[in-house]
Amino acid sequence: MNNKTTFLKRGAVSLLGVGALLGGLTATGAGATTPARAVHRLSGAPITIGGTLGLTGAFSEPSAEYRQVYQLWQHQVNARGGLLGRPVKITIMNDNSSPSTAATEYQTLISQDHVDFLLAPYTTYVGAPIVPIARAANKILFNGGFVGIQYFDQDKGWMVGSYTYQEPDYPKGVFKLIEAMPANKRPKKVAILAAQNPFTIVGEKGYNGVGGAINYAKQAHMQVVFDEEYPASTTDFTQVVQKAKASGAQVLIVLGLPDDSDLIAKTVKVIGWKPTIECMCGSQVTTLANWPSLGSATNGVLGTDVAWVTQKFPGLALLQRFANQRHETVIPNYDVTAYAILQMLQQSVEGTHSLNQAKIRAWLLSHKVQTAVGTFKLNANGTTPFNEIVTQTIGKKQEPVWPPSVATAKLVAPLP
Amino acid sequence: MPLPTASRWSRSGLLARRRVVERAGWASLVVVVGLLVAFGLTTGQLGTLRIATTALMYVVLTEAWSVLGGYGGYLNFGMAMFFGVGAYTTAIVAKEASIPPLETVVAAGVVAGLLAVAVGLPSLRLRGAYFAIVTFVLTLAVQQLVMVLGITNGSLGLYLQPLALSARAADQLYFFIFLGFALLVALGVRQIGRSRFGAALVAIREDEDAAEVLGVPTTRVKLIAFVVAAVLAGMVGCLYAAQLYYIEPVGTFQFSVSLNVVVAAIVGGAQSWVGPLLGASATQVLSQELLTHTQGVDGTLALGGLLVIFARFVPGGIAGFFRRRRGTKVSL
Repeated sequence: MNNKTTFLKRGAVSLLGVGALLGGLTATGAGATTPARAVHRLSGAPITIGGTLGLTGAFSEPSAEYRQVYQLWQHQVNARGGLLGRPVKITIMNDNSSPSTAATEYQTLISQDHVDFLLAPYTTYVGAPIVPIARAANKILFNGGFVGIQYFDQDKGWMVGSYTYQEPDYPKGVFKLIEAMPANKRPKKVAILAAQNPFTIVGEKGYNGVGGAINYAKQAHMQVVFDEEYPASTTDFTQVVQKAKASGAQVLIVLGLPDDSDLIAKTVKVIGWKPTIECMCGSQVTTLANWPSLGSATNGVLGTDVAWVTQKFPGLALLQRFANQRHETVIPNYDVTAYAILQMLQQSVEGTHSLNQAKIRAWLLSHKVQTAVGTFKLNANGTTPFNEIVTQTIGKKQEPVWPPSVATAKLVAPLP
Repeated sequence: MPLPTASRWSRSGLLARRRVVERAGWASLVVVVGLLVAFGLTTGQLGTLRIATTALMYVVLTEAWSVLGGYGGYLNFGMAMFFGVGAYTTAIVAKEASIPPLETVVAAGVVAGLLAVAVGLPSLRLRGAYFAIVTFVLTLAVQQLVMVLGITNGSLGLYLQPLALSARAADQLYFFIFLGFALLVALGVRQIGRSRFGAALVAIREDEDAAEVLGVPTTRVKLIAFVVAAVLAGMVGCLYAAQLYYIEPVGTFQFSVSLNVVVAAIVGGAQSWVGPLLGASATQVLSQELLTHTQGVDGTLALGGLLVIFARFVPGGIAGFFRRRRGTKVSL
């Protein structure tokens, strides 16, 4: 299949990219020495970081992104002298995109490999069973892989995350953007399509009555004229998109995973629907490598992101170069959250000079961290303070249109 | 070289040989169980313990499946449906009645069994591929239902209360529960194979029309076998949910549960109680090893390859292969 081929090609390009970027890093003085020499200076047993990713199965593509960035960070840190003078070793096991396999592998990482730190897997439904496992082992779960406000609330700072908005807030930015439109141009009717997946359903309905597309629509005095949940494995959206169009909606909010969001964007184009606002508000699909390949189906479509390169947060420039080497213009969201969670880990270890989990948790909840998703102090439940960027694709270019402090372009709605 | 056949030995020699094989088989089983008990009691390697627990879980599921699938020759792709219904029954009953998940094991089996009656009555009148397709499609239908029902919390899934035990004690507990369960079910399936009920199933497999003419109540026999498999799958689902703490529709009803069971039965040999023991253990350990040591290889792909090899070259599975090699039946 085309997607598979593209994915394999991208994997090969990415491997070359990591190598080239590391070469570049050392040459530009990110480390004054070569990685090999720097590693030679490291002493002591490695600090071990372990986690799982769905390297095969339904989530193999996003998982591959995470792994590349983890490898990039590992090489970079070791080139700069390691952590506490010790080398760092990241072990990623393949959970086959399955929660029960992931649960087994985390027990292996904890009880057999005795890793010092745990990285969360990709996506909420694989990650949810891992939260109590990490907690039972008194390990902080460093989570750049999934959102899940209820799990953060339950875990009380034993899970720390790098996503800057949790699932109830996924569509928040778009509704704020709509509210900021002139009253005579503001759309009044909204259609919502949500994948049947834990995080997208909370994105649709909210959590404990707060957030979610339905609530945000009410707050913006908009009428939800169509609201449908679909199986994430759906491969033909013609009928559902036709129904959404027939509802008279002017705004289409899609809360999906990458593949289904792409398909919906294509379908909207194919059936000739031109809603005033069309947002792929789910898995930050507009930041992923496949997005430009959808061609004119992306024109005018909004998306959300955790950070934008113009914000100049630490690490974003490096990640932009990494993306460019893979012929991508936008940094994939997964790269940013993956890199940011390791920045948090690094800073907390260096801040405490310790591997003690309780000390590190206390440090993380009381100190500011400087990461690729911003400089901030974590919330008491381990989440990052809200920060969302809304982008719009016009032609082949994607630019932030909200919030005003980050926007480099004005919203175009409706398209001329 | 021609394989030896029963006719080449005298009757007394054959019986003596069977007794030796039988004793050796039982001795091997006792040794394996003893080793597993020692491993479960002493290991601190919780990952390996969980892999063993998963293998035992599939032993139960495959043994249960083999009653209709092996003895009866009916390809049932619905094990994931009963497994998932059992898991959800546990999560819902435990939450509503505020009782520990493990105490819902009977309820999980009963609900799965009732579903099997409802599904089996019409579908077991179908034969061959039609029955397999019905069980597959019904699994998807039940999964969709779970995704939209309020009581199941839709796609968000349900959390279960963890046991108030250390991680090690909890994992040991589930290991020993599955070990005991697997032994009981395996011995039960052995007894079924030796009973009139088992003979009726074999008759159905060999020629259903002839069996009916000879007075075998085929639909009733198939339904009982189907319900037995469903009850056991439901109970396994309960234990799975209790150990994982969290269930949701995609992971709980995933087709790979049904597929793994069928592959294990074909690899091990579906027409005896020994086959599922061997097949489930071998395929699960292989899958886990592939996932652990070869990060880019999809375990399903490897199992698919194994399935093709066994279906083509070793149609009786591992157990059938040894049976043919000896030229006599390995009877335990």
